[in-house]
Amino acid sequence: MYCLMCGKIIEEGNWKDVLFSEDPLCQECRQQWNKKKIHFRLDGVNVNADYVYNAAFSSALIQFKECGDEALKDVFLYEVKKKIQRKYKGYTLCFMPSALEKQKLRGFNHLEEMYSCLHMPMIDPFIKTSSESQKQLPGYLRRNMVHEIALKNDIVLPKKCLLVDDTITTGSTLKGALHCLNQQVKDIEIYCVSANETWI
Amino acid sequence: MKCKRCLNEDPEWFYLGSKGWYCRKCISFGRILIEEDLEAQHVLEIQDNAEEYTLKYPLTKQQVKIAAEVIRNIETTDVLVKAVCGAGKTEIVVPVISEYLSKKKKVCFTIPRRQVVLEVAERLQSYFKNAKVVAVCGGHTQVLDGDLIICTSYQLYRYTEWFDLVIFDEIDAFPANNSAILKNMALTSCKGNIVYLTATPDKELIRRCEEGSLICLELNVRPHGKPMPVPKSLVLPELICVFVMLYWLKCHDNHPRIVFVSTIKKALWIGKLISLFMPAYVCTSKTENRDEIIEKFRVEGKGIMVSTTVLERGVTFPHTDVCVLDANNGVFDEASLIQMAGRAGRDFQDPTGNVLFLCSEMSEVVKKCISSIREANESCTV
Repeated sequence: MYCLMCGKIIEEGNWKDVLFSEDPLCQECRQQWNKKKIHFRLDGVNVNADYVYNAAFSSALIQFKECGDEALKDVFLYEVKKKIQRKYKGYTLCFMPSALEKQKLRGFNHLEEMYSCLHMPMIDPFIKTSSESQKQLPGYLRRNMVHEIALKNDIVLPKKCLLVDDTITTGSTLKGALHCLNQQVKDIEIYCVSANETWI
Repeated sequence: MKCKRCLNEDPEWFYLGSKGWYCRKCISFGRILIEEDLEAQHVLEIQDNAEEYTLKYPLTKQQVKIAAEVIRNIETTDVLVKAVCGAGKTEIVVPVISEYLSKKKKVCFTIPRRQVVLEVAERLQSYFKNAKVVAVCGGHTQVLDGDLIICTSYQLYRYTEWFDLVIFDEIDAFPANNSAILKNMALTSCKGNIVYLTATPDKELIRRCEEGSLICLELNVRPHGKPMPVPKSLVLPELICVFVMLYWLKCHDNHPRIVFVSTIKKALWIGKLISLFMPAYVCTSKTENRDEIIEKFRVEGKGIMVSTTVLERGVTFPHTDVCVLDANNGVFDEASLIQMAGRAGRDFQDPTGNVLFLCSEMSEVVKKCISSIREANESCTV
């Protein structure tokens, strides 16, 4: 089996890879991800994340999202899958919205693919009203995103919502989502696979 | 299954995504589906008179001969121009570029290194004054089409089945030397044949020459007729090497000097050390304002540049002397040492140059490099 990031044949790599791991990444690539228990509150809601957003994580995410490499879908939650299933039992995953144009271009919902390995109920309740990609926006403009996210019309919200995203940078998308839910859901938690260093 | 872009056929590297099978080997260039037809590209037509060119110096007899051989062979087969550093490889292919442009055919000049792309683009634009010469590399991707495209090998992913002629300069340079993807993308971007230019062909090119699928044209003499400077080597303890380098820099202060080092870290501290005694620039792959620094060094004319292998190829500075610190370091192979030595003595007015290899122990690679340069020089004087 090839490591999905570096392409090295895993059977020929580290002995730990061969004996104990079904990780689609080789140990060398995995070690470059900075795993860290991250917890903070955003507008009064608990946020958890498991990786620091660093260069290695970023390049995997870019390959998955921007280059459309769906093979990487199980790479992100491989190490923390069981923990999330245990911690958020009974919650419904609510995906953060992507710009429609981007999603069309990509041909798949990257969050749906990323979180499908959890086998938890999931919905896609939000819509982005602006088409601009956030990555190109400076921090102060990202904060305006609060008013550019809306709930889809026919959506039935679950009682326990787990808002999920791939990474949290300024938190503006999540704040926008929280703003939309506005008292409609009592039990809300947030989980992002990675968080920007500023949240640590 | 076969990838149309990188020619990968290994089934392990294909993945069935929501839209169909795609190749993961070249996924970093964006996803292309195996069953999807390539988008019809809108290619700009070559402008009239784009083929007219004026060289700074007329080609030498040997260059003219090689250039004619390239034109004669390129319609039927790939061609390798094996020429010593500074032999004027870029100028040798100017006639064949002109020939293709006159037939309204698309030509690409591709090089693994970004820095060289900008320099070659500038040079070719000065030769082909009526043509729109477009440089495509990191930071220069707004305009992608023109009469003549100069791009990094990495950027070839944009041009699948686009060109009638591809000129692949320095195929043995990093990162193309280790990348089948980059080499294959040159193949898939070209509908016709490829001209390879290098001073140091790799085993694959040599094998193809022996096999007969590649015509090899050799040129071992520089346009000024002077041989390539043969490096002098000194084997000394590492610390002493640094002092000798400082002394050597002082002794050659009437010329611009390049000190090549093995790592970025070393470039930074050697740069700082030299700055204690004389002003020095540092240029590595991590240097943000690289273009600006190189330009300053070029204009200054008597400066010192500390660089990693990032400047080993393609760049031409007149009157330069070269010192390679730690030349026995594993980072440098024979090809890169030859290329670094080749930065010296490239000027018509000053065709000699001084090259010094400082080693903590003598290595096979250093010996081979020196003997290869000697051999090339001997063959041109016979």
